[in-house]
Amino acid sequence: MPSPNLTAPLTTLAQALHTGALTAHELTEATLQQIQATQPYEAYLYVNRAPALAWAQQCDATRARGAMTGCLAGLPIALKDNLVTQEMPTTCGSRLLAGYQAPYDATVVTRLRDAGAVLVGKTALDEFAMGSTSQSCATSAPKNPWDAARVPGGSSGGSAIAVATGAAAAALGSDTGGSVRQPAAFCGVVGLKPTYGRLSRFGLVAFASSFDQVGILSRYVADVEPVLLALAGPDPCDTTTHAAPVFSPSPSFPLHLADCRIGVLPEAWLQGVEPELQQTLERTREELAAHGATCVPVTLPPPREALTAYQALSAVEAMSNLARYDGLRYGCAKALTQPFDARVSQTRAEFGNEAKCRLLWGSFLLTDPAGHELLCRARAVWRQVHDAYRTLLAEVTLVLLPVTPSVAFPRLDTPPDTLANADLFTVGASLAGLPAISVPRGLNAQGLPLAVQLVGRTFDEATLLRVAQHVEQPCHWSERSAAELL
Amino acid sequence: MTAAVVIGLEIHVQLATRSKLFCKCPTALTTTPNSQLCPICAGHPGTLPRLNTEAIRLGIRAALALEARVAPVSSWDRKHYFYPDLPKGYQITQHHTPLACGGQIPVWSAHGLVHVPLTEMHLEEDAGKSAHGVDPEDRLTGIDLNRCGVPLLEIVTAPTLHSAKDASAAAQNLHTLLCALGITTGHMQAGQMRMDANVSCPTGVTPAAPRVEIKNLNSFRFLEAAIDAECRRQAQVQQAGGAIHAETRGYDPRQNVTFAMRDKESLPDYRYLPEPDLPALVVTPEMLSRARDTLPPLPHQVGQHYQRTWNLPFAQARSISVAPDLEHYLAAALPQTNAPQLLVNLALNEVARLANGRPWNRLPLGPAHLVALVELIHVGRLSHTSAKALLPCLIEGGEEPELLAAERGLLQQLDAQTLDKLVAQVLATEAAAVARYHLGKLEVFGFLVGQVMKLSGGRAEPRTVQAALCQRLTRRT
Repeated sequence: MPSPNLTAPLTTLAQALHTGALTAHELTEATLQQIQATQPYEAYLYVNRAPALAWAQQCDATRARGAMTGCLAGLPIALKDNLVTQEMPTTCGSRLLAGYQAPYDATVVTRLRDAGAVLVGKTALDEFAMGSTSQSCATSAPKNPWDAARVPGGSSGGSAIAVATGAAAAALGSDTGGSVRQPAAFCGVVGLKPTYGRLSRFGLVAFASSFDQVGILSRYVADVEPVLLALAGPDPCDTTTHAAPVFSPSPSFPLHLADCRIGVLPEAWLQGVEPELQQTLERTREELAAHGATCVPVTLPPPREALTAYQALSAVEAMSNLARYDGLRYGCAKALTQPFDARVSQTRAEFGNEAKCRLLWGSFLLTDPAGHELLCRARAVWRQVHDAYRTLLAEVTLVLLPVTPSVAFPRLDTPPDTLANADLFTVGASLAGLPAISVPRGLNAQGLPLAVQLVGRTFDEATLLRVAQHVEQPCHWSERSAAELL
Repeated sequence: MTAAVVIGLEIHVQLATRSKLFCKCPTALTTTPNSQLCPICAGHPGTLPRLNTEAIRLGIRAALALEARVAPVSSWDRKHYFYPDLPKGYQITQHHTPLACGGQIPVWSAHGLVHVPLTEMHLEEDAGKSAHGVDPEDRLTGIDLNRCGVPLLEIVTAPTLHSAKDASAAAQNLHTLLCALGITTGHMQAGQMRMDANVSCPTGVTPAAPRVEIKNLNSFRFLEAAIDAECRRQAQVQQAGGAIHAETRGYDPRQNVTFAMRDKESLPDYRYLPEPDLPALVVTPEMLSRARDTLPPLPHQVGQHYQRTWNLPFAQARSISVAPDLEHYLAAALPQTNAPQLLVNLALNEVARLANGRPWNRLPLGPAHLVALVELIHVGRLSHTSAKALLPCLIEGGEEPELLAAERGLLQQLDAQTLDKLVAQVLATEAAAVARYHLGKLEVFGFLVGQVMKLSGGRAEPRTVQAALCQRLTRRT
């Protein structure tokens, strides 16, 4: 049996499964081997070996019977470890949830299964999805597959590594302020954060509920669509989900770029972006224009204001959402024989530093009068950014932005500024609740992935994906030799 | 010099929904701890609340009945504190914009109708229960999360009550009203209505007295006793030259005293935060008009109607007002009778006793038969005693009262001749009494009637006896 090309497009793999050129069992077995082979990058926190193989066999049997199979039947898909599953543990990369086995499945997990996907494992993340390096994971230190000395980005770092290295055909992540888009950019894959309300959050362990959204990571833009279609749709368990159809009923395809107006931001707004990423942005703009799109100079509230507001808003919600981890009912429990207060404080001492900082910041903002003033200002900026994007997107079809100010940075001794600015250009779409995608744009001279971001109209992922397809320049990780990598 | 005490109430009422406020778990009473739980109400990671619309309907119904202004858009907010029986670390409540503002509790008594103003009412989820003493050494605390997520309506009165009795009356009237409208089942022992009382005793010097909150009173008797106990304590402290400070206290019914729980100053900061997982609660004009259309008359309105229309005493009107099945029964019976008071007396005393808790609409003795029975008494064909003797049979049988009375030979029918003989006989044997009557002692007349009745064995009809006696006595003169 020839080993399947694991970094082929998901759509190609699906076709091979469909024609019988490849069985789900072969693909799953090969993916599990790849997970093993790429283990040094520490993408996975848990590998679902036996159940995945059993499920794959079932897919093959269903197909052999000629029965209907789902649109993702037999495709190996990875889950960020903040999506709850009954079959696998869910830790959120935290000691607080060590050994936690959820009593239910997240809605997106159920929908992946219904579509026939083979769930191969749970991927590494920053603790409770708070971070942009994946290094705050309590049990693993994920590495960038293009340069192991660099971060894979975060918080969905594990999912990005898995997809880049062919250790999954696609993966789910979660994006609160850039947690899908930024690691996608750093690892050279596609990362879509859909519109807030597009995908169910039921079973996504909450960090900042107003911005949390399940995201999709894949190697090619075209691979996003089948996954999005399988997951989208209203969920009675999540009252913030929306019934808007994924693809507008009007048959507007193929999309004519000539009909598109692309919003382009001025240089001053892009201050702090590394020159090579500025050039990437510029070249993308030129390509779009060459395809006939109209590029329109636009502006938005300063990204730094948006970032500061996002940090405050997400911290207060994190403080609230993480209040339930008191060690009484599940997960880690310390000081079992102590009175309640001691028990809670000793259990919660197990949070990592990143989480503790945010929890303290959130508490300060809600209790201290000065904090409260800051929070009020943050809420005003939230409204401002939200409204600015909506107004802008009445004029243009989408906005072209950088994903990050820099390419993947070193894992050790990262300058605090670099860390602080990681979400600078991604939080805008989060505050506005808009769909945004990180699109690979090849590699730089050092062999590190470059990327651009497109932000689209609310519930118009369709246009976003069509335009993204025009500008994607996939990064082919498999073309690099293993020796070169690690 | 001490001015009147000022009391405000915060009343938590469990709404009569079948499932919890944010999940599908049942709210039914059970004795098995932690048997009515799901990942949502147990606060598992990743879960989201899902609003129970029945709770909203009941909340709006209560607001309209209490004449409060329902907010077109109200908020959901998280109230944070760490406690073993609060699994999410926060309670979902309506802090920033409550469901409704204003309104009043109609308090109806023998003295008439007064209104206790309300400040607001809002929906929230209940917490679980902590049980102490689950082990012999009393070192463990048991946690029962069954009650977690059960829908509550918190109703807050303005601080305008001035005595424990008034406070208790307001709470009882609210209880009556909400039970009558099916908003709560109002089971006090099960904690379906719990009250907090804010008590302050302003003095002449400091009109803005510190507010002492007495928590978790689950009966009207305790509410009244606790407020009285707290007033006594505050008076004692002030007499001794001490100062009252704002605090939260509990009530110990065994010793009939309040005790310190925690200072208001050390109250936890609840860090209220808008609930991001739920859209704002929108109450449309359609929802309001639907609720208004299905709102029956309130208990005090029913009671006052009975007071006015049938001239009934307060106590009876009140009993009728709180029992819709009885009210329905009487509404059918009363317009048909010539003796409404007699009918109500019979219904509330004899029939109610024999019904023994059975609802009125299921009694075989229908309103028409009760009316017929009362008519027999009224016209004097059946004595009260005989009617009572028939009731146990009537209430079960559904028989025609007159037929049954005839069958048993209880109908008061005597021919004129026999009656005349009996009257003559009595006048002869009671000559002394007759003499006294003629001397002007008219009260003797009643005695003579009684003697004739006795002689007839209860079969004589009192009015005919009276007439016959009268005739004979006058003829003699």
